[in-house]
Amino acid sequence: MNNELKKQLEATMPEVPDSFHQAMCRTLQSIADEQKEANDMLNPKTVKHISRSTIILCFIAALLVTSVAAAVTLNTDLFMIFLGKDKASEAAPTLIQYDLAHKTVGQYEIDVREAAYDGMSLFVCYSLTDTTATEPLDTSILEDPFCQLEGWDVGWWHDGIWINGVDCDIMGGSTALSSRSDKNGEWLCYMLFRLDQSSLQLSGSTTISLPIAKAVPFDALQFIDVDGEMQLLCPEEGTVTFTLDCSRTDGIKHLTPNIDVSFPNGNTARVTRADFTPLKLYVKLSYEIPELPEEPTDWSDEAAVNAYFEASSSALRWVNRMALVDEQGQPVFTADQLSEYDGCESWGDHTASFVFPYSDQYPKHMYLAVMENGKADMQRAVQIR
Amino acid sequence: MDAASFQQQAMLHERLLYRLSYSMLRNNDDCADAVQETLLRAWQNREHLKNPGAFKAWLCRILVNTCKDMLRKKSRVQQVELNEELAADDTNDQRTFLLNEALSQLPPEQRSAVILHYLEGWSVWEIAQTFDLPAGTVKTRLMYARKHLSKVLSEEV
Repeated sequence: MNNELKKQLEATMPEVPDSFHQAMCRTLQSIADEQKEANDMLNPKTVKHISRSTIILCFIAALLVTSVAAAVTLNTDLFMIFLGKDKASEAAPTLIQYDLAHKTVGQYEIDVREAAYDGMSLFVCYSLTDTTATEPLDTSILEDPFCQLEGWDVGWWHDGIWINGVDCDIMGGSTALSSRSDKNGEWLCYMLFRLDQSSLQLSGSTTISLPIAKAVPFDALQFIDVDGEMQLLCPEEGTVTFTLDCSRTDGIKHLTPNIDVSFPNGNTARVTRADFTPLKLYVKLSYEIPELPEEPTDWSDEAAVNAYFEASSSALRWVNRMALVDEQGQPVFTADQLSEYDGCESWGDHTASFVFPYSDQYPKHMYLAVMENGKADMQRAVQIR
Repeated sequence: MDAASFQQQAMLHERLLYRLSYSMLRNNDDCADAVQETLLRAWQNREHLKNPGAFKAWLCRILVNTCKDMLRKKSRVQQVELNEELAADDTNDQRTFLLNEALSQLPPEQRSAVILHYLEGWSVWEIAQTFDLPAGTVKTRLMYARKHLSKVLSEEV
């Protein structure tokens, strides 16, 4: 019956009409144009940004994962790239582990050169080298580190990494940079994965697999059902795997202040968590905005994934103007001490996430305060410690 | 996923998207509207696609939800008119015409299950996973649909 029915059903189905084909092409083209325009607007000079995924929060137009193709030659030093050497503690270099993996794929050499875990984020630096190249790569071909270079058989091909064999989505707040080096055919990629955004905590010896070898064809990917959720198995051929010792967590301190503050406008907020690491200070803020409607009016699908717009807009009015200050309202960091990754990195209906540079002289009492005309509004200051 | 790979992946499934939307909406203009809305929704929510291997199923699910939204907005009168329009289009093959009629009489959920299972070769399990339904529900839909199709075809031929 099935084959017969299939034949009959085939006969009832019209060919894809031109109107449908054109509708698809037009829509996809407009999406491609829109992304190109967004990339150009985000940084018209030397860098290139793309939006990526977030899990915990739903954000409007925030850059959740940012990738940057820096049009300069960079040295291989994770902490200098992401933090600046003067912004990490003396303990920071002890977190870095070197020469973790090597793989040859045809004419390409892949090396995982450095990796580190500070209890919150995973930092990785790897290089891809075309051994047939007779000169350094031209800066004009620098591309998004989450993509393969045009014409190359290796490079990033999947929106996720495998940790101990488990497929993990790219976490919101993650960042990547790429650069050519002075060596012939060498491309360097620096990745920062915000594992804390997915509540991932690494400990002990941890296996990390990066999708940076030869891309696995779509149809060859294998999935397994784990408690009703499909997980992508780590394909050995398409990945480079290394083992990282994640037991080095000296100097990491967690605080859960949870000190409620009521703002004059009725909003309430509290810092739910502050994580001091040898590399960064990570702060999580929680808040309630009473004027928000219970039922957001913006479009939402069945999973309500896009139902946050109104709430996020309201939070945006003050959350992204918060700075780290002492009890007198003096900023802990000057503007030139903050990198482009510091400050409010994401916000949602009820929570926001902040990152600040490391300091060995944080004030004894410290707040997140809304800044107005360069001054901290201490009526809207939330105590961290 | 960047726009280029999104574009590439989506175009790979053009025929499936058409068939699935047609199975529910039975009107080419509506199918074009549905696929446009689907692609935009998918692109806006691409960060929620955890596994790239699930792209096809994920896109189909958004399409089915979009079609359901469209059907909810349509009046019953309009649907009857659409079905009549469809019937007038196919007159060459009597059996095909009847099957089309029989399909049109099915609820959209049963129609889409029939198209995916019998025409596209999806397993019951795949359909259940994609649309977040118990496998038993999918089997029941297929059973009712098959029963109805058999009845119409055996009565008329």
